[in-house]
Amino acid sequence: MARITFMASDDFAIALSKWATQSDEIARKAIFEGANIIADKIRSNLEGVLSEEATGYLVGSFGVTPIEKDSEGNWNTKIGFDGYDDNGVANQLKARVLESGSSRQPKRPFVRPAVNATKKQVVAKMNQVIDEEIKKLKL
Amino acid sequence: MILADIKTALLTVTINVHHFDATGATGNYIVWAEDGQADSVWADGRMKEQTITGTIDYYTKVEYDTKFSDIQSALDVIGISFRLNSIQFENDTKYIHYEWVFENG
Repeated sequence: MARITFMASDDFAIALSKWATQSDEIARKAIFEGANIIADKIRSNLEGVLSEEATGYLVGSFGVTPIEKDSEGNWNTKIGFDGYDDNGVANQLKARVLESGSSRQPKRPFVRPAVNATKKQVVAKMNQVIDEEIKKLKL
Repeated sequence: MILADIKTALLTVTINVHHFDATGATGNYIVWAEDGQADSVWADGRMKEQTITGTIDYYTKVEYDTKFSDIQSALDVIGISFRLNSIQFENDTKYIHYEWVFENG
């Protein structure tokens, strides 16, 4: 006959309590690691599609926002472009034209291919970080 | 389904369909291109399935262009997965640019 024993000890309760208090920090660490993988790939793709005459403004404006909790309690970060170049053109607009093209410029996608290429790696890395952090709590 | 089915489907909407390069295109036109792999399934050291991704772009100067829906209907008919990825307006050329991402697997 199968037997399952559940030790609802004080230690276990303390561990669960630790997990609850640390969950936000664990989420932030996992998102940080995952976002870095995608951001590195996007940056690398971007450098690959830019012309030799590129000023560097677009690459310089690329970054990851601070990880914050939204109104629904989910931790998020955004990866993207900020600011304007010397001509007053928004870097977001320039990135969009590169990614999607225009009637005057062929598209040179660099974001979507990066996301496709790293999706599985990011999920695996985030799972790994979460597992490691939970183990540290000694549940 | 093969990639060429996408071209066939788009040609039911307009004859002005280009693959990869639409240099010199005038009027309202479609340009489509495959650009990578979304996923694959491997077994016994061989790739058994592969999902190809790409984009379909429609440039039009017609506001509320009915071909927008026609393109989506044509893609539905061949059973391809797609999503509307972006809509942009080009101030200088006055083109409205619809962009779909498709996955063909």
